[in-house]
Amino acid sequence: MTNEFPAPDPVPGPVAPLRARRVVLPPARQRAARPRSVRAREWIRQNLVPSPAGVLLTLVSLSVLIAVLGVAAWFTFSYANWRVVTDNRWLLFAGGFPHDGEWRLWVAFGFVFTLVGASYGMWSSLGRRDVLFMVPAGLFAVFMLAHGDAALWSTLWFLISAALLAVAYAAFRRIPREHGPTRTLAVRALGPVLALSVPIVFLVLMAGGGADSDELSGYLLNLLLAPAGIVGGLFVGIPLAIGRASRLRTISWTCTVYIETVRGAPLIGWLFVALFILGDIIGGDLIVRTMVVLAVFTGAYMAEYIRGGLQALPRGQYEAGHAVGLPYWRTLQLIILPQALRISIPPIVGQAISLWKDTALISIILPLRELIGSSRSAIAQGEFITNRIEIYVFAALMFWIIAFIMSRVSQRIERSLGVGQR
Amino acid sequence: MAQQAMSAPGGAPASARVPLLYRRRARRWFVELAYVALTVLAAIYVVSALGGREYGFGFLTQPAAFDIGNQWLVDFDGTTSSRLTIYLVGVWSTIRVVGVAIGLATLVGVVVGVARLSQNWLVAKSAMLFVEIFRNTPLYVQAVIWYAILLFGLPGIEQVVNVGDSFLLSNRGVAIPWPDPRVGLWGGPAWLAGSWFATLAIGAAVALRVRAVRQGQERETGEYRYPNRVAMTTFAVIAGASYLLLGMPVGIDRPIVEGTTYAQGMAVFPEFASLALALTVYTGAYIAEIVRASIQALPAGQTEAAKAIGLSGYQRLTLVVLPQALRQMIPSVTNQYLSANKNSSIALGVSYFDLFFVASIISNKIGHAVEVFFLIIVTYVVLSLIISGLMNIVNARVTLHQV
Amino acid sequence: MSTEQAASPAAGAVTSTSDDMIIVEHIDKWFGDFQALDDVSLTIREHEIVVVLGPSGSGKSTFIRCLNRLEEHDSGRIFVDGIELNDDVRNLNAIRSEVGMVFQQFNLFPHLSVMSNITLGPQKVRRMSRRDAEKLAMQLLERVGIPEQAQKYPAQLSGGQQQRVAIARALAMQPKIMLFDEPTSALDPEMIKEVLDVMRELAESGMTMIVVTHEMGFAREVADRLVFFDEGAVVEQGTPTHFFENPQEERTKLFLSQIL
Repeated sequence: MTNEFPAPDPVPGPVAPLRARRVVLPPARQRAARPRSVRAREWIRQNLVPSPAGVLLTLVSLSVLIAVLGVAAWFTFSYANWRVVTDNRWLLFAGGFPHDGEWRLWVAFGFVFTLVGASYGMWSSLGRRDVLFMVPAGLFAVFMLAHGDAALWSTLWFLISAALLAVAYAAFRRIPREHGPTRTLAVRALGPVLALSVPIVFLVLMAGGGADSDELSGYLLNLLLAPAGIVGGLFVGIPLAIGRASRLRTISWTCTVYIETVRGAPLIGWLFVALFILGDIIGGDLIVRTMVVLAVFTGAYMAEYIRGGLQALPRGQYEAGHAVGLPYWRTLQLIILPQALRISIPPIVGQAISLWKDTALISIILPLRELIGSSRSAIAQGEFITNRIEIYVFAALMFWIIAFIMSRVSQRIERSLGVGQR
Repeated sequence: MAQQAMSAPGGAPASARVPLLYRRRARRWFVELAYVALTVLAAIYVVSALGGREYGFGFLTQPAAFDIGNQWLVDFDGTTSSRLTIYLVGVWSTIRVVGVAIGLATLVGVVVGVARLSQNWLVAKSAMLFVEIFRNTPLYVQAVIWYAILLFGLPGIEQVVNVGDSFLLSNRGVAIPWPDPRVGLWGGPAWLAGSWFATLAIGAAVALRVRAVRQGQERETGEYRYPNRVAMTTFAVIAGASYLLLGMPVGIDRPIVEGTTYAQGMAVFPEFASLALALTVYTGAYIAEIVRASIQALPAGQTEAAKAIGLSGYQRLTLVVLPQALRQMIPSVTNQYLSANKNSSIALGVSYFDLFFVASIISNKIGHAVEVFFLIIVTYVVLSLIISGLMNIVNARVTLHQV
Repeated sequence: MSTEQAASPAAGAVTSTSDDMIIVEHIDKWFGDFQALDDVSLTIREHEIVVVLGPSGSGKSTFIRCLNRLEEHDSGRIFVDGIELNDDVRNLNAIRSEVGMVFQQFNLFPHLSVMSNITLGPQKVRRMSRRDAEKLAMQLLERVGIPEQAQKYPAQLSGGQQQRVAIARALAMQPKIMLFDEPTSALDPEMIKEVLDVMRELAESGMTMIVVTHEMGFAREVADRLVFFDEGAVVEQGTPTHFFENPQEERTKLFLSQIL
């Protein structure tokens, strides 16, 4: 015990220890860059043919790759009958949405694109890779739109939306990155709109003689349900996480039971509840019940990730909050939650991607026809009964695009969180 | 001494006189009571809202009156058996498909995860492509595509593809050779086949024991004692000798086509195959990312040290990198196993009669949604507990050996 | 240590007067089966600088954390500026804004700029306007010598700078008492001086300060009184001269022989 005293510090005054500082010298001479051809050869040598075994590996993987790509190309360009997709465009994308309300779709589309552009300009910047992705995606969209009766109009609308995205991006890109009054103002303007974007889109689509809730289907329904579930999940998950970390036993215990129960059964089981049980408890449309189930389900997972963030924070942060005079709730709101949420952004985005993919499960047991359900109806019409591989591959692609974008955004956030903070 | 003067300066209130409203503990009690009251009220509301139904698990003992067809390893007729029995068959179907998928997904995951970090550009990029495609599309859509390919991409059973009379391939699935009890040299008592399988199990146990003993000797003396070779020989001798002694009671049945179905051998049907394939690839892609991340998390010094003592690339991987990464991976991989278990519930989408499909048929026929859901969630929780229990054992063993 | 020793007045001990700022009476603190504080009594006057010494695990940190109720004492009473620290939430809030605290690990809020770290308390607790709070923050940053760092984030500062921001943050609540819990222990040697200089200046300005530290130079030079803790009890206290030149207790001598 007694010999555990800390190292003595000579009295009085501080000591300036001798420490070698890191020394960096300026370059003394211009060094020549390696010629391009040498670099290319070097790259091939290191990456493709490092050794005899390496050559074999390259050849094997090359042949596998060629075989897979060959089958894919044969399927896409020779086997597949893509008319199953193009002929059913409206059914797949908008399902039962009334044709005379098409403008509503485009207004919502433009609104979302503007928000995407603004957020991108605000918090990130478009890189070469993003553009490389966006150009083919845009061309694909135009290709899908430029078929059929309203081809010209819908293409035009799409181009207008794309322009809105570009303008919003350019406008918000001009906001200085550092903290300042302009940035604060911009965050205060954009934040609430983002937070309310889901209800706004629902209003645009449904208010004043728009679509009825049972007319929402197709890809549109996936695009509506997933954000609703994600935002709702956050609203459910944050209090749950705080509750589970609470010192009050009854609260933490019930929150734990809730979280573990929800995570215990698969989503499809909870959709079963939405269909057969929840109606007696909360009533409402099936679509509303589905959203509630998605939010409740996602919330339990989000709660666990946020709790991870809460636990990752040192106790000193709570103590410092209290020492500054903030009561428990204010400490939580001003000090703890902003940091905990920031830490848990990557897994939360992961859960969002997961929910996005899970919206494909809805039409397995529910009579809601999202993209997969619509695909099934497209096949059931009879004309395309042999083309189910095509239509499901197309559906997979539609899911993939959004999931891929989300995973890229998540990687970007992870990278930007890695620097600076903590 | 100063401290003896007990009087509080400024007449501070004594704790006894603090109003209840301002006492921290009292406030906590109040919050807790209010919370409990609200929870109880909510529970009462839910119970009353669902009160109009008839409850009871009696329906489980009544005849199921539906057939779930023949699936891999199971051919079951539900017309006479009880609903509970047919539900348990569904549970068994879930266990089978999850078991197969977990095993294969681990294999796929390790291979692809290692490939992602390969020095070979082509290999690394192919692995990345695999992960990006299969992780970012819904499992259900993948399963449906596999199912469509198996069902519509393969020839009908009339034009069955026959590979050397051993493998049959058609849109009814794959049929493979399978061991089958038969009349041996000593005539036909059925227990001969059973006792040979039992002997195999004993042989395996003996072989493992031999291996452990030899490994111990190797550690003690430093001499080569060939634990693996000796153990395998032991097993082969026991298996072969008992096979002959019992009069060759087990043969291999080659599959044949009988009418519009497979007979003999073992048939793996498209329903099972598409679900298992989708689960394998999807879970495998996730495990690959875990493998990659845990290898990357190892300090670079480990690989450099292994290079420095002259290990080859393969040796570095299997002796230094993977064993360490494995320890890191187990919790995340366990989570993937648990997800795979729950994800298998998409079976309904490819007509595979897993526990959820069977349960939803029962509920469709007779209602009792609350009880059926209770049954479902309890079953999944039990399966999850089994998986995490097994993984805890694995984890304990791995950490024990490595430290 | 025994109560007898704790209560025995040593040379230079103070007597209770009307300007007593903190009165601690017979407090005990348990962590499970471990007694962290054993019948500790102490009175601290206004403007007094008290340095608390003791080996690791002697309860000195627990003691000053009890003074703003980051730890709740199990028995005994504590009065700060005439207000008792008890279960009453009003008292708690009143005391927390009167007692500033500086931690060993700084505990700055990493998601807020230096400026926001300092203005948070004044704005949210004292209800100060943003402009006033920022003016105050700039004054304090000048006082601790780093006005140019106001817009940076804590992670961009050196340890010494972070600790000076932490001091400014505590001062922004305009406290009557400052608690320092080993403020230099997490710092590299070359940064210790800059923090001690700020503390020295603060002491000269008349702040009531309780400092847990191992900086003997600072203790000897600045402290009005030294209090030596061992095994959860006050073993000996007195002026620096008394303490360093004529310690009475065996444990104190042992401690000093190890640390000097």
